[in-house]
Amino acid sequence: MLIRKSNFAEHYPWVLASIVVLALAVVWFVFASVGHAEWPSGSSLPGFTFGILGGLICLFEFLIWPRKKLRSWRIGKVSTWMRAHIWLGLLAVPLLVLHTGFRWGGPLSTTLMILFLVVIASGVWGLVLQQFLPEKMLKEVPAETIFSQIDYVSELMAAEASRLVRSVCNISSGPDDSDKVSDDAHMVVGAVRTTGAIQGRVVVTSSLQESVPDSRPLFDFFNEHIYGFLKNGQLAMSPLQNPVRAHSMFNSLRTKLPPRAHEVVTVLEDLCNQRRQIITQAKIQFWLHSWLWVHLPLSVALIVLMFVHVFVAMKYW
Amino acid sequence: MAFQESGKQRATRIQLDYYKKSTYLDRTKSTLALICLLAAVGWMALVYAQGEKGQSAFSRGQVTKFHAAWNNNCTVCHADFEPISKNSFSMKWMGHEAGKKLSGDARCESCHVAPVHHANQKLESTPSCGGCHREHRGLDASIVRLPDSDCISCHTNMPAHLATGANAKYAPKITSFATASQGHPDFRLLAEKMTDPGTVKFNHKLHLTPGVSRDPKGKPWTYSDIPEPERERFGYQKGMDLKTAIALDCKACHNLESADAKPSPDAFANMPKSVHAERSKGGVYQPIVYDVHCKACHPLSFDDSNKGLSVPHRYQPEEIRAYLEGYYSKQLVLETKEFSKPRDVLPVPIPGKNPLAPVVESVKKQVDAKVSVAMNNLFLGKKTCGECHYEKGDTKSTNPGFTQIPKLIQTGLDPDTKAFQWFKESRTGDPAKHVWPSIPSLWMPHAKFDHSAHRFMDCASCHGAANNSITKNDILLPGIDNCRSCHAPARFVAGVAQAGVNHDCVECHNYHHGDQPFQGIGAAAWDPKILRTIEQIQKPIP
Repeated sequence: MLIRKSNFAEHYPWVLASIVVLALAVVWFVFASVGHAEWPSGSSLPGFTFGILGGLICLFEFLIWPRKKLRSWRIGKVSTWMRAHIWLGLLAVPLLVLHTGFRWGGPLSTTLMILFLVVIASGVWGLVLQQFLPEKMLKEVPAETIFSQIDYVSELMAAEASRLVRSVCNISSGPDDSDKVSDDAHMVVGAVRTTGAIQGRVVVTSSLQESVPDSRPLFDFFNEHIYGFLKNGQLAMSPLQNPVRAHSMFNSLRTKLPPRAHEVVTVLEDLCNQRRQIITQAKIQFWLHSWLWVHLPLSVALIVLMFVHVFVAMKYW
Repeated sequence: MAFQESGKQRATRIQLDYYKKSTYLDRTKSTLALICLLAAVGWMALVYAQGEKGQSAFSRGQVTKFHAAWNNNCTVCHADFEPISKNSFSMKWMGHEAGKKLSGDARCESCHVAPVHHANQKLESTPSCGGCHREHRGLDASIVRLPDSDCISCHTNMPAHLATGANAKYAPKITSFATASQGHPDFRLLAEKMTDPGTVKFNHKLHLTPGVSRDPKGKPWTYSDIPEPERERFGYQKGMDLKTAIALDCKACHNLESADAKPSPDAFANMPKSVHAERSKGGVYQPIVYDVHCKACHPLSFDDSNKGLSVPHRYQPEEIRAYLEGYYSKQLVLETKEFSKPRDVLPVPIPGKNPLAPVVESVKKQVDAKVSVAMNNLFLGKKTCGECHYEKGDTKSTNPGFTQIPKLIQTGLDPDTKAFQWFKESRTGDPAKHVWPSIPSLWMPHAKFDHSAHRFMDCASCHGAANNSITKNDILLPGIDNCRSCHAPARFVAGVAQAGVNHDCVECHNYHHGDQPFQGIGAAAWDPKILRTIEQIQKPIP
């Protein structure tokens, strides 16, 4: 979730409420510790209260997972939940630290605290990444597509490019592109277009050209470099991953082809460019979501152990 | 080249069910979540399966080394769903009455009998064992070094914590020891201007004067004036001139209980070291003992013709008389010829008449006369009993004669003094019978003071008044502000760091049995009522 000056007004009530609760908690905690040699423990009245509050916050934080899965439910906007998730989660840190009385305790409580701190740290890391990675993606990946569709789109691009090249080189269609593209006089190649500050991938079609004589180098180049790159991306280990190298290679190809085939080369170069962007998108998506590999699984363990902690604490009060 | 794409064509760019497709990011996340779930549940299942052994996972920390045997057995101390501390706010919430004893306390007391703190304290104000002795703070933590807050919780408002009818007459509100304004009173002996309840006269100033002489120009007391075996004790070293004036210091008479024993070289010659008794660390001073500390200079000589003769100390008047009669009788019998003649040369006795009667009568008279002189020497002489035991013109003395001892000496304490009442309150038994001659071994019955911990200090820094004390009535305790010179929060005076030494309550006070400072942890009062086997101590009491 982006936190900007422009949208801080939406965060402000949560920030204010968290600060007020934190200030009250600290004052109470310090007041309760006056005249005592040790900080109030988790079983003291303030410590217990902070434990209850922190536990409820943890439970609420965890509920964002099912809330996201149940987007259609009318239980508040997901964005509101997310704001609460962020600020209450941060508030839970001092509350639960106060709950501990600045002691680690035994194996269970220490594990709980470590889990909690790692969960919080991973969440903060995710929040930080979300502040600039989406913007970076917007700038660097105008050809962005749906993350789960990257493989499908890549195959589509490879198939359509193959069809275009075979048409120009007068080679009968291969088995790969038969089921993904329609047998039409036109094909969709897609393109990145910019209008002012807005840029994005738009659907652009290209009419299938008549065959061009002496265009065999194009077919060879396509098979050697382009097809594998478009279909498999990084896994193809293609030199086309490097934009400078790719530009050079395409220019070299043009010199080997008659001018009528240059337009097709331009289309293919554009497709490779889009594929490179999709590779970048995949990388960014990895960083945007991989922190959840830590955040969510440890949250699950945290919640389970938290309930055990509550039970044991009550039993051996 | 561009053309109008149909909706169908546009739809083919993205799969219609794209939102159902998961990515490797989602799959990894779900897999890891499942692993973490299983790990957490598995850990707890393992803990549960391990039974008692697994309980240490729930512990909030290791217990002290003294209780380490029960680190894995919570139920030895804890009762399920019952607070370990009566002070816990959750007492009522969890269905327990504040004034009721917790079952956890009985578990502690099965090993530790802890006498009550004060007879007049309210039960609901009496903390539970766990309320003060906080465990789970590590192997080396102390559970007896308690924070002041545990004491102050009651002592800051004593009337509220005393049973109905009891008064907080001495220190109703103490918030800290740090400053005088925080309510901790001075030592009661000083605050109430008591006098030394002891009955032995003693002039500290005189004894601390080199030569032990009131007259600076008078004859000093020298090593030649005391018996040879006693000289070393009072500072004599080989080669010294016997005419050297004796200069006593505090250690000449005040010895810690750990003072170096000086048995004769042959005393332990054939004894293995293993049977030597270990000396205590020396927290308190040994009582002054006449035979050790006084006799060298103050022998109880009773016969002017033989200054080396002395009566044993601690004998009561009738016992002294009997001792003297025995001594003189023996002497006269041995010296009287009639008694030393053989039987067969004695004149034939006339029936009804003892031929030795005149001699016996004569001896009796002589013995009585000698005993009278000796008793006179002892009880009225300046250098003997009267030197220490009663004042000239003592109004309490009914008849300071041979057979009458001042009442003050007999009882040991003047019942009319505050000190008598105070000692009577603070000790069991009747001081009139048990305290004699009533020089207190401990001056602060409700506090502890470790002299060995202060052995690096000059005695005069606390007891400087002794240098000018000429009467036994002086209580030579320093005021409590003297303690605060060091035992107070650190402060800077003219840029110099001062104080900063521990000044918490437990530095000087015990909660349990503080009124019986002579009873250590090994005293019978601390013995548990039930003795258990090794197997039994591993389990909770039934």
